[in-house]
Amino acid sequence: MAVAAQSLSSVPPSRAATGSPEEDRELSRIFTAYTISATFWLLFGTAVGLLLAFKFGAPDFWAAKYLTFGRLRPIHTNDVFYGFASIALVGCAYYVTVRSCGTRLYSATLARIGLWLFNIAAVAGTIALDLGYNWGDLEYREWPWPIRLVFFAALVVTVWNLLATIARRASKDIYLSNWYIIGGFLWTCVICLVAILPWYQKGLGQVAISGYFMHNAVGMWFTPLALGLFYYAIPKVLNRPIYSYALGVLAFWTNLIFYPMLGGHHFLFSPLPWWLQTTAIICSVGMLVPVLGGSANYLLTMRGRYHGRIESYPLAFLFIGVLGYLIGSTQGTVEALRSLQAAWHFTSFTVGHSHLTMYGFVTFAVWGGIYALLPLATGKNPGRFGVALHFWLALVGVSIYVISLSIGGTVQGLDWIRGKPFIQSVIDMEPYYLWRGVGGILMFLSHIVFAWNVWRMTKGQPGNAPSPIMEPEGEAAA
Amino acid sequence: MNALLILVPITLVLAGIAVGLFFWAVNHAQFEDLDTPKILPLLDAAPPRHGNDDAPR
Repeated sequence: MAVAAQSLSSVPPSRAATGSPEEDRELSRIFTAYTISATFWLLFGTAVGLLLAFKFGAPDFWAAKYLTFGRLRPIHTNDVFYGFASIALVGCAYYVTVRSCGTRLYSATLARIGLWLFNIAAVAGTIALDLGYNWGDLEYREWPWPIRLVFFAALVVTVWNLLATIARRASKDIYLSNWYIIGGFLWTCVICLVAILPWYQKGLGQVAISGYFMHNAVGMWFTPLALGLFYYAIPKVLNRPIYSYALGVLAFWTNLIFYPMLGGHHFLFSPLPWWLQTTAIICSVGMLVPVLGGSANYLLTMRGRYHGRIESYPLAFLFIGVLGYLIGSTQGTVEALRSLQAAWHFTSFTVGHSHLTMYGFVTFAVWGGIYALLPLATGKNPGRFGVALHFWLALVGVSIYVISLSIGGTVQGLDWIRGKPFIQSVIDMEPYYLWRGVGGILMFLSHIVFAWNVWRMTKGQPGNAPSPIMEPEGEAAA
Repeated sequence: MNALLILVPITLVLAGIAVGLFFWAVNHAQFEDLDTPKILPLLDAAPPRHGNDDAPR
């Protein structure tokens, strides 16, 4: 089959076909375009998020119709999801797939069409939400369905392009990163369709579909794309192969088995059947297998290279991303247990959890991937100071954010269990809301620095940061 | 609630497809060699050729 696919592709693969200088430049231009788009959405989406953070402490601040919490909150979540994280990960996926297959991109035109579709969906979705057109409070699918259809079209165009690229790979084996990338794309196509089809979108059926879509959109889209990026970027930066390819294969397939059924854990104690809730909990516990296996694999690959001082900032971003994956996903398993969910669900603890995973894991993975790979594509390094500043602002910011919401969310949940008046839980949350805003400011500042770094890696004057590829087994290995 | 009558079969079918893909991959020797593919990211141009790969080049 693999052989057949190779001979079927229009241009037979050969070593000579691997990236002529012009094709390398084309790939670099596509990677650059996706990264710049994603950076814009990061700045926009998190500026909205920062405003929202302060609305908890000062609800009357900027409370005009178009700036109300109810309209801005889904704008923040959808734009960082479908604008920033999706576009950034797809840009990285193009680079990783082409390079790890040792071949050329199937179609640069399709890649550009995909980028336009992603952006059109995000712009239209933002405008629609702000004008009050939405699909109710269904998490991560607040955009009206025609707009989500545009996003679906972008997925189809991209996965077509990536599959055709993989079909012309130069080696027989499909590298692990591509399994993750393609698995994520195909699964997300399925859930996007299920989430758009109108039947059963009422009552409890809507709840079941919401659980199905909302958590799969996180864990079968962002997670596999970020893990696929890890499997390429971490070995690349370290100039050292992944610790265990076999462990990666195990983690991939167990992820595929356990993840799709765990979305129901957001509806424990709801009228959904008890057996479905229990299945979701069992699958949540099963996720420990790929999470611990995958994290161990990444950390063992980095062995000897993360002690004492930071040798490489791209590696530091990837390292924090791995820790975010490990801690955030394990926390997710624990939160799915009934006794703990009774205290934590619907509190700010869950908001802390989602930022630990989407920011501590996915966003740090994206940044690590961009700092590791974009300079290789464009030949331009960012400035050493800019990357360090970005790293520390983002790390300190997200730590303050997650820790304050985790403590505050626990207090909030205990207040509710004790049956205190609701307003008491609001009063108790006040200092934690303030700290969240402080963390948010640092995070947003780090995004401005990131934008500056992206500029230097693409269009602007390159900086003085060293090559992202580390010297193999430097003095740290001794 | 009828959604479950659709969602559960869809999930089972997809899980079946995933299992099928897994066996496709195993039967097509994707996981025969779990050591050499790991060097693919370190090569930018010329990946290793396997002895049993007789694709026309």
